[in-house]
Amino acid sequence: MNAGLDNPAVDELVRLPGLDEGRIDRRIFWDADVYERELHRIFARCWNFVAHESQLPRPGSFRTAWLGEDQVIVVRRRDGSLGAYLNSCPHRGNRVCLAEAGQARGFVCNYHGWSFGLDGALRGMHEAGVYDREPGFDRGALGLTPVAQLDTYKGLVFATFDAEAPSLRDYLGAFTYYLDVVLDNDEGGTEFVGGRITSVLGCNWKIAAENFAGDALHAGWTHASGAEAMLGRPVPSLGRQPESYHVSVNGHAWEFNLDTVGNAATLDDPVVLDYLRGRHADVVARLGELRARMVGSISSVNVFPNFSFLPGQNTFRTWQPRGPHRTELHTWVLVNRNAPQRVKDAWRKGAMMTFSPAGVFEMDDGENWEGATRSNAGVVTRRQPLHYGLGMRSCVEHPELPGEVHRGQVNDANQRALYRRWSQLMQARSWTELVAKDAA
Amino acid sequence: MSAGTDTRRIVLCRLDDVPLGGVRRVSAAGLEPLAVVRVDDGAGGSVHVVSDTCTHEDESLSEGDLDGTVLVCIAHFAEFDVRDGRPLCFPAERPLTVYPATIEEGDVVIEVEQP
Repeated sequence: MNAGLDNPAVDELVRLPGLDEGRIDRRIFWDADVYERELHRIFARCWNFVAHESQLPRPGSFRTAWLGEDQVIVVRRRDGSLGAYLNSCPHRGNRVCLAEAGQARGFVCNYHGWSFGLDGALRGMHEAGVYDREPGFDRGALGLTPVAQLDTYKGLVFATFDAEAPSLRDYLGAFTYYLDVVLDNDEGGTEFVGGRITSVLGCNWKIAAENFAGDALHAGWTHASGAEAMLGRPVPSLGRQPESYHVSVNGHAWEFNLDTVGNAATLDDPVVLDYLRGRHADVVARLGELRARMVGSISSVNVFPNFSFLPGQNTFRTWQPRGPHRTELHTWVLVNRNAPQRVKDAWRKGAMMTFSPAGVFEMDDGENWEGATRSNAGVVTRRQPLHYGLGMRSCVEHPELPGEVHRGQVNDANQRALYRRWSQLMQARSWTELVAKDAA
Repeated sequence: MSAGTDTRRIVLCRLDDVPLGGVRRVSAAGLEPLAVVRVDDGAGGSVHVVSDTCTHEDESLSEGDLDGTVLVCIAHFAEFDVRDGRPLCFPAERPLTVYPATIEEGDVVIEVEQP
């Protein structure tokens, strides 16, 4: 019996019956039983971002990463391929890797010396002779548990614990058209620079994810003082941009306009802007005029469920759930591999100034998201549904843009798309069941 | 050669059988398993022969990595310096036995005392 999975009240709640009228029940941001189901049906099931290939340059290079509250070690194996295993010893369950990242020959549990190779296989134990005399003891059956599937898309490494999950290409679907704006605007591809910045927010993970999925509205209000500080002027009115959109595919969401450098300008560094402007013709040749104007524009992105980034500022991040009211934020900075070093440095510093725990914009968001979560402690407050009703009739056909396209970046369409996918996954008993419904 | 003892000359393998920067496990009658180590010193390589069994647990060191002159056990990553056999980190606490080796006409040769 599991209070998250075998629970008719949760079944009803996660159907999100008001969604198509633009209403969401606040309890999905508060209830422990909903959260428990999310760990099973969202994080243990979806493709989760776990690393950039540039972070795993050599055999033995590793990083720890999270799929929900399950921690994995992602490692470059001796044969050069990538692997990912649960970071938990099959003997007594302790972590076998205590570092966030590094270079290792293998992983040894600190408790009893059980030792695992880069392939996850059990290599030795303290007092190995005693085990070897134990009838039926089988080293081969006691390696670290691997993820079910691991794959990459243009440098980004994803993993899933679900063997039934569709391939990564199918999971991303037509969203790769948009991902290429940041991952493939230069022939050299991309890399992460610097390390990981970690911070903790007292909010539900979905409040952060939906902000990046589609919340252009908050930019000019929440970040007004930050924009004044960095730009000397307010964020432009985004509701009047004639060419701006919400687009979504399979719950993945990108909101954007076509101003080319609006996000990048908030770094207040001419090195970044000169680089983007100088490359514009090349990017047009590579991706076409439309996508070239998305490269650093005022925009934000969430890859379902919890992998977000901002084109232009180039901050990449995951919102790691730590209970229904707590989120650990992990952030990195992405640059083009072939960019000059001073451009990479400018982006690394600019991202720190804007989107890091001490960045002028990051701080604004955390305050709001914590408030939006904590207010739901009130039992009467929780009865009031939330409004997600902007852009109910904004859906358009676009000659170039794939996916579900809505005109106007000040919109709730992407947020609804995210929660629609969330709802489908939370109801479905398996990927097979969900894929059958998608096809119908 | 001291009085009362004889030495026995043992050919372990051909030098060419051990890759530069690599390790080869060999056995010789009456001796524990041995590891022939060919350190890539940038000057054609130097050859060292040490006991092959990790002094922490019964593991073959020739299954492990060679990092310069450091031989690393595959089981718990105990490290030994192959030049003098000394343990470099936990869980190794006792040294490896070192067998002084020479190269004679392409053979790796040790001499051991024989009572």
